[in-house]
Amino acid sequence: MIPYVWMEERAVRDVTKHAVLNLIVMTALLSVVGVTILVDMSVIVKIGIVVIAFAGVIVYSIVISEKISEKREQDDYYRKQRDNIELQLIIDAMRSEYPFIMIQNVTKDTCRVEYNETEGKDKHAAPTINATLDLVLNTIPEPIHRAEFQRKFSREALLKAYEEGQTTVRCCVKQKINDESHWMDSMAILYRSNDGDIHNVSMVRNIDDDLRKAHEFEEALSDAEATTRAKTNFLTSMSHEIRTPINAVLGMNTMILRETNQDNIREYARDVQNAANTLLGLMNDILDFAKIQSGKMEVLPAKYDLGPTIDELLRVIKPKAHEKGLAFEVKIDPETPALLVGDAVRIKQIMANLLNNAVKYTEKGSITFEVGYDRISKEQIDLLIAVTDTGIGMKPESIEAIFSSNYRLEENRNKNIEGTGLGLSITRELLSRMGSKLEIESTYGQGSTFAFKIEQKIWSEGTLAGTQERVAAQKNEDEAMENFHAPDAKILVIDDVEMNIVVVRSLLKRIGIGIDSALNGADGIELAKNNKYDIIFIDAMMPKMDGTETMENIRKKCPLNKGVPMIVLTANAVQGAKDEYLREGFTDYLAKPIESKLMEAMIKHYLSSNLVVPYEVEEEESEQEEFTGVLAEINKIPGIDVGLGIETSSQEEIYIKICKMFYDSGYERIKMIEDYFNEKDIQNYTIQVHALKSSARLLGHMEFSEAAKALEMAGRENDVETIERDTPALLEEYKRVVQALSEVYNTSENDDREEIPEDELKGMLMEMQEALSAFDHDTSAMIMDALEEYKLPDGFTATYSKLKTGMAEVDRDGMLTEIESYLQRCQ
Amino acid sequence: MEKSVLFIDNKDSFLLRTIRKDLEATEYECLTSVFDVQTLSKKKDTLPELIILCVEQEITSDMQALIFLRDLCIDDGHQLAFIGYEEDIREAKKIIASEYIVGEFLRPINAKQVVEEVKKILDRTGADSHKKHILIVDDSGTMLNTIKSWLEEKYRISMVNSALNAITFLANNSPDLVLLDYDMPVCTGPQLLEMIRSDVKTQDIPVIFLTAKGDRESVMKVLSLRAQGYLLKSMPRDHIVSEIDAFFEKLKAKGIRK
Repeated sequence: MIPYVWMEERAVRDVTKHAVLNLIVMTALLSVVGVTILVDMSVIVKIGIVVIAFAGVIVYSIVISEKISEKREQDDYYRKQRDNIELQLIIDAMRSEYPFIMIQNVTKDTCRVEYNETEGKDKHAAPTINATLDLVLNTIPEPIHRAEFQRKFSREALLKAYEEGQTTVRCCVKQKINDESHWMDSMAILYRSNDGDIHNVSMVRNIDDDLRKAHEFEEALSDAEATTRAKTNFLTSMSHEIRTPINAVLGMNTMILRETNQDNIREYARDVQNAANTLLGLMNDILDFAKIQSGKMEVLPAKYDLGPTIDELLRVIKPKAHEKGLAFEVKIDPETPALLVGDAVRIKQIMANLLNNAVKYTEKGSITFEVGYDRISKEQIDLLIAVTDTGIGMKPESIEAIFSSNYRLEENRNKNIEGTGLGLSITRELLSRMGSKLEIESTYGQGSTFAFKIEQKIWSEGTLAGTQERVAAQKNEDEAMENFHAPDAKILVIDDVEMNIVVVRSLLKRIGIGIDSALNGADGIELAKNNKYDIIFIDAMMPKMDGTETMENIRKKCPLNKGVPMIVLTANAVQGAKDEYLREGFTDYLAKPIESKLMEAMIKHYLSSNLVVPYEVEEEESEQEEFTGVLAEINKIPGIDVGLGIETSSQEEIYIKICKMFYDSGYERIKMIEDYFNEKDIQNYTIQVHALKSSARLLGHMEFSEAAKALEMAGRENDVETIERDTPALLEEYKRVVQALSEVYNTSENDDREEIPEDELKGMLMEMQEALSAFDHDTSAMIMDALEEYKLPDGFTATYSKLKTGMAEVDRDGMLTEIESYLQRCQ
Repeated sequence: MEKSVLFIDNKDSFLLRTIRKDLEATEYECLTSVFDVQTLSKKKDTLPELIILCVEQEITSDMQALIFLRDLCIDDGHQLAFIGYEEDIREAKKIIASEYIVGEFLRPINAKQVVEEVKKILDRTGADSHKKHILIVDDSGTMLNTIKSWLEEKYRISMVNSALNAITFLANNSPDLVLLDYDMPVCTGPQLLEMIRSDVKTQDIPVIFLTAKGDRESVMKVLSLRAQGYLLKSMPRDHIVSEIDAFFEKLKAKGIRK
C-alpha cells in the first residue's frame, strides 16, 4: 500500500517532502560513498542506519503531529490526489538512483512494484513478501549471499527488525539477471502508516559501477604506495650517489688539513669540512625520514657503553652552545649504569637531535642536559634523558602538532632554521620504535624541556662515573696502536671511484704500507690471483661486479689469498648493513668517509704483528706544527730549518731579525759575489762567501752554509777551478732563498711597502683578465711583477698565490676563474 | 734609422707598457702623451708620423681633441692606429675618416701582436724581417716556460696549456708554427692535430710534435699524422732551437723557390 500520510498544510507538506528528499539524497550520497564500502563497510552501514533512522523519526513525528492537529473530515478524494502527487514526487526522486522500487505492506503481506526500469526484474515480484523473496533468492548463486539475503528480507525478519527499532535493512549481493552476474544493493525502508500497518519501501540498484570505482580506487591506492616505495628507493640510492662525492671531498680535505701549513688554506679546508659534514648530516636525515616512511627504520639493540656515547655527543654540542654564548650545564647521575643493551646509534641520534634543537632555538641563556635512571630490576633500568633550554619555547598547539600522527615540518616555522626540519619527526618516530615517547614541557617564550625514558638492559656492571677510567684504558690501547709502520705489508684496494683510491693512498701514506689498487672487481680478482695480500679492502657498490661478488670470487678463485681478511668499504649507513656484510662473508666493515685513524687501527688489527713496526714521530715534524706567522712561512722554504736556526741564534726574536737582515742584504750581496767572481777578485770574493757561510748557518740552512764554507776554503787556497765550477750553483741557491724570503715578507704583515689602492688593484686585475683572454702571457707577467711592488690586501693573498702558480703553470683558465671570482667577491 | 711612434693613452695601462717595452727593445722610439689638445698642440711639430690612440669612452667623448687629431692627419699627414673596444672605435671613426686609419686593434688584444703589426706599419717591409710566431701547446707549465725561454729571443711565443685553449687561440691567431705536446689529458696532441687539419682556417699551419717518447713506433705514429716533424723533449736546448731555426729556413727556401 501507499504510505498514507495526512497532509493538509503546505508547510508541513514541504517539510515532509524535504525530509524524505533528504533521506533520498542521503541515500544517494551513501551510494557515492559506497566507494568506500569495501574499505570499511560496517562503519558506513552504521552511519547510513543512523542517518536514515533520524530521517525516519522526522517523518514519523510529522505523521503523528499531523494526526493530532489536522481535521480528518477533509475530502478523501483531494487528499488521495495530493498523496499521489507527493508520492509521485518522492518516487521520481528515488527513480534517479533506484531503477526498481517495490512497496510492501509487511503487516498484510502484500507487494506491489511501484517502479521498474530494469528488464526482467519484474519476474522477481510475487503477491506475497516471502514468495517475492523466493524469486529473488533463486537469482543469487552464492549460498552465503543467499543466506544473508533471506535472513534480512523475509517477512518475519522485517517485522522483527521494525520491532527492534530498525528502519532500514540493507544487503549487497551478487544476483544473476538475464544470465549476467551483477552486484545488487537492496535496501528496505520500514515505517508504520497511520492505519497501524508496517510498510517497507524496497529499492534495488546495480552497484557494479561503484564496485569498479572502488576497485580503481584500490588500484590507485596501491599505485600511490608503489610511488612512495619508488620515492624511498630513489632517496636511498640518491643518498648513496651524493655521499660518494662528499666522501671523496672529505677525504681529500683531510689530506689538505694534514699537509698544509698555511693558515688560510687550513681555514678554508675546515670550512669545507664543516660544510661537507653538514651536508652529510642532512643526507642522513633525509635517508632516515625515507626509511620511516617506508617502514624500514630498524632498531637494533646491542651492547654499548653509555659513557663515551655521551662524551662524544657533548664534545660536539658544547662548542656549538658556547659559540652562541649559551651556558651548557650537564647534570649526570654518576650512579647511572653505563654498560647497557640498546641501539646506541639511535639513542645518540635522539639525544643529538634534542641538543641540536635546543642550541638552534635558544638565543640566550642556557641549555641543561640531564641523565639519570630508574631501576626496574637488577638487570633493567629506565634511562632518563632530559634537555632543557631557555629558548623560544612552543605554543601548546605546536606541541600538539608534534604529537599528531601526521606531523611534518611546518615550513613557516622552520624557514629560518637550517636543517631539514625532520629532526623531531625522526626523534618521535625512533622513540616510538623503541617503545618510548617524547615528553615536552614548554612555555612559549620561556623555554622547553624535552625528555624521554627508555628501557635498557644492563649487560655488565659499570656506571657513568667509571667512564673516565674506561675511556683512559681504551685510549692507552689506542695510543699504543698509533704511529706504526708496516713497510713489508701489502694491501689491495678495490674501488670503482679513482678518487677514493687516491684518498686511501694518501691517508695511508704515513704508515708506509704497500698498496695495490683496482678500479673494478675483475681487475681486483686478477691481482689477487697473482699477489699475496695481507688485507683486501673492497668497495661495496661497484658497477658490474659488486663488493660481495668480488669478495666471493676472491675467496673461491684466489688460493694465494686464502683466509685473507676482506673488509668492505661502504657509505651505506643503514643500520644492520654491517651485520649483513659480515653474514655475507666479509671479515669486517669500514664506513665511508674513511677516517684515517679507524682505517689504520683496522689495518693494525688485521696485520700479523711481525709486519707492524712501531714508529717514532720525528721531532722536527712535531716542532714544525708550532711555528706561526713568519716563522711558519720561512720554515716552508726548502733547505731552511727554522728549529735549527733558532737554536743557533739562541732566541726566536734574534732569529727573526737575522732572517730579515739576510733578506734585506740579499740582493746586494748576491751582486757583490757575482761582481767579485766575474772580476776574479778572489780576496774580496772569499770575504763575501765567508760572511755567507755564517749567515746561512744562522738562517738554519746548513747545506748552503757548507757550500759557502767550501768556496771560502777554495778562495783561501786560491783554488780558482773549484770557485769557477761551484759559484754559479751557490749564487743560484742564494737567489732562490732570497726570492723565497721575499715572498714571505711581501705577504706577511711586517711589510713596509705601500698598500695598493683598491681601485688600482681592480684595474690591474681587469687588465690582466684582458691580457689572459688574448693569450698575452707577457703582459700578465708584467702585471704580476707590478703587483709585487705593492703590499697586497689580506683578502687577496690567496688569490695572488694562486695567480703566481697559474703563471708558472700557464694555467690561463684557472687564472681567469681566479680573477673573476676575486672581482666578484669585491663587489 | 730610428723609427718612432706616439701612444696616446689616458691611463697608463700595462698593455701599452708591454708594447712600448717590446718596441723599445728593438730600437723603436716610443713617445707617450695624454689625450689633451693643449698637450698635443705644444708638441705638434715633433710628433711622429704614427700615432696610436687608445680609444675609450673618455676619449670618444672629447670631441675637440678628436677633431684636433683628425686635422693633424689631414694637414700634416700623420697616420692613426686605434686600440680599443669595437664600440669605442666605431665612435671615434665617426670623426676620423678611415682613410687615415692604418690599423685597428680590437680588445682584448695581445701585446706581441700589436708590436708586430706596428713594426710592419713602421717598416713597410715584408713580414720576413719580423719574428715568427710560435704557439706552444703543452699541459706542463714548466715545459711551456722552459721552451718559451729557449725560443723567445728569436721568436714570438704564445703558450697554452690545453688543447681547448689552443683551439680558442687558433680561432683568432694564425701562428707560423705550432709546437704540440703528444701526451695531454682530455684531448691529446694527435686529436688536436686532427682538429687543426680539419679546419680550413688552420689546416695549413705547420705542426711539430714535441714528445717524450723516442721509440720507433711512436715516431712512426707521429709522422703518419701529417705533422711537419717531431722533436724529443729530451733533446738539449741548442738542438731544439736549431731544429726550429732549420724548419723556418726550409720554409723560406721553399717560398723563394716558388
